[in-house]
Amino acid sequence: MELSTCKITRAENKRIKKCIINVILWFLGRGIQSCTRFDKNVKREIQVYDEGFKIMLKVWNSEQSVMVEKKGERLYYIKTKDDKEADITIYFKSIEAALLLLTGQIGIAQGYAEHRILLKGDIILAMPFIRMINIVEAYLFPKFWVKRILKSFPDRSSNSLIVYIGLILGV
Amino acid sequence: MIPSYYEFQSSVKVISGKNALENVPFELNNLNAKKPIILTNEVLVKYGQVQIVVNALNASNIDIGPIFVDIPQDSSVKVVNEIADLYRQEKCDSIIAIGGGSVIDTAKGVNVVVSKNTDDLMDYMGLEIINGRLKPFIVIPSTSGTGSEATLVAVIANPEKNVKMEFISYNVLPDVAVLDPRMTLSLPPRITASTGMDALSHSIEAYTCLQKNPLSDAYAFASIELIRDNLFSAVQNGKDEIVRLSMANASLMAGIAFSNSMVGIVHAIGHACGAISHVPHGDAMTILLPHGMEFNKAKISEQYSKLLLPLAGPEVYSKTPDNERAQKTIDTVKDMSKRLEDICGLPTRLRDAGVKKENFDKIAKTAINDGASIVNPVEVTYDDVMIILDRAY
Repeated sequence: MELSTCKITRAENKRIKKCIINVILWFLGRGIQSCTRFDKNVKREIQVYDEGFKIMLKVWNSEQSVMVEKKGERLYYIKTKDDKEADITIYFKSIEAALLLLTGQIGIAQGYAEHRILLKGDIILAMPFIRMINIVEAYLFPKFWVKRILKSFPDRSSNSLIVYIGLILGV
Repeated sequence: MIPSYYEFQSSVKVISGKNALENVPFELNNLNAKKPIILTNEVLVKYGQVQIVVNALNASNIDIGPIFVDIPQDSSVKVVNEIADLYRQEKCDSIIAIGGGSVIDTAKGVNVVVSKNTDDLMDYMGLEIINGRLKPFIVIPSTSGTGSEATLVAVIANPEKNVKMEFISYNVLPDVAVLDPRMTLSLPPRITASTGMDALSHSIEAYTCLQKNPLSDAYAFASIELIRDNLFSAVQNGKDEIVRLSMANASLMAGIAFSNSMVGIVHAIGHACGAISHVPHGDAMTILLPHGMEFNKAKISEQYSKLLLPLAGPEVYSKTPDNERAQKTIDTVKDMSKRLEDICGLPTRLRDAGVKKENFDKIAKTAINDGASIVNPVEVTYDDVMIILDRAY
C-alpha cells in the first residue's frame, strides 16, 4: 500500500519576531539597570539579592535573552546567553508568549496566570524581581497602557524621562 | 466569560468509595508497578489504616517495599533524600503515600529525586520545569483538607539553606488518588473542622483568582456545595462514612480547582503565619478567609455573589438582593467559622492561634513574597497585609 505524504512547507521564519524580542530585551535590561539607579522602590525590592545574584529572562529553547546581575545596590545588564549562570531564570514558553509580555499586551501576573512563563529557581526570590518589573514597565510604557495591563499602577519615585535617559546612556 | 487563554490538567485517576483501598493492588498493576515504597506516619499505623492497605497488597502478592513512618510535620529535603536512598536500595519501582499534606509533599519530592536520578532537589525548584513522566505514584489522603492528592504543587523545606522549596509542575501529579471513608473516620472534630475550612478556602480562592477558568470553576462550585452539606455533620458525627466520603470528595475537587487556578492572598498570608508563627494551615485559613475576601471584595464582588449559591443554598441566594450577595457570602463564611469555634474550639482570631503582633512585620514581608500573591485579583502590598493581620488579630 502506498502511503501518502505531504509536502513539508517551509517553517515560518520568525526572524523578525526574534529581532523585535532582542530589541525589547535590550531596552528592558537597560531599563532595569536605569531604574535601579533612579527609583527608590526598585532599590528597596532588590535589597534581598546577594552580591553577584543573576536573573535571566529568556525565550525557552531559543537564544533571545537578557541577564541582570546584582552589584552593590544595583542590577546591571550583562551580556551572556548562558542560563546555567543564572540563579533564577524566567522563560517565556514561546516566541509568541515573549512578544505578548514584552510588548505590554499582557502584564506578568496575567502571563503567569496564562502559563506563558516557566521559572527555574526559587519562586520566593523571584517575587521581588516580578514587582520590580512592574515598576520598570510603569516607566517604559505610557501610564494609560500600564493601568490596562497591571493590577494597579505602581509607586514611582522618579520619572520616565530620567529613566529613559539613563537607559540610553547606559548609566 | 472564557479567558483568552488557559491551561487545565486533571490527570489523576480517582477511585472513591467503599473498599477503594482494596483496589490499590489493581491500580499498581495497571501502572506496571510491582514493588511500592510506602510513606506514611505513625498515627495511621497506630489506628490501623496502613494495615488495611498492607493487607490488600499482601492478598494480591504485591511485593511491599519499606514502610517509612518518620515524616516530619513540614516535609524536609533531608527526609526526602533518606527515603530516596531507601527506595533505590530496595529497588522499589513505585510510591504509595498514605497521609496528609506533609506525607504527600514528601512523596512528591521523593518521586522527583528517584525519577530524575538526582541528588540535588534544588535543581528542580520552580514553575513547570520538571519534564517527563515520573515513577508510578498513588496517594491515599487521610485528611479532607489539603487536596494534595490532586495538585501540582509540592513544598519541601531546606532547613540548611533556610528556604522552602516550591515545585510546581503537572508532572508531580499522582497517577491515582484513593478516597476511602475509613481513612478519615478517626479524624478528631477539631482537625476535621480545620481541614474542612482549608478545602473551602481552596475552592473560594480558586474561583476568584486570576488563573480561574471554566473547568476549575466547576470543580470549585461543586466542592463548596459538598462542604456546605457535609462539614458540620463530619465534625459532629465523624463516624458517618457517607459524610466522610463526601468531605473527601470535596477536598479532592477543591484541590483540582486550585491546582488549575492557584490561590491568592488568603494562602499567601496563611503560609507566612505557618512559617513564622507555626499556625496550623487549616486554622490560618479559617481565620484569614473572611478578611482576605473583604480585601478583594471591591474588585470581585460579582464572583463572591455567585458563590453565595453553593455556599448558602438556593433559598438564601434567591432571598438575598443582588447587591448584597457578595457581603452575604463573606458573612456566611464568618458564621461557619464561628459555629466551628463554638463546636470544637477552632480559632477565629490570630491571637487565639498564637500569633503575636511583634511578628506582623515578618509575616507581611513573607506573605508578599509568596507566589500565591501573584494571582490574587487585587495587588497585595506590605501595608495591605499589615491591615489584614490587624483586622484578623
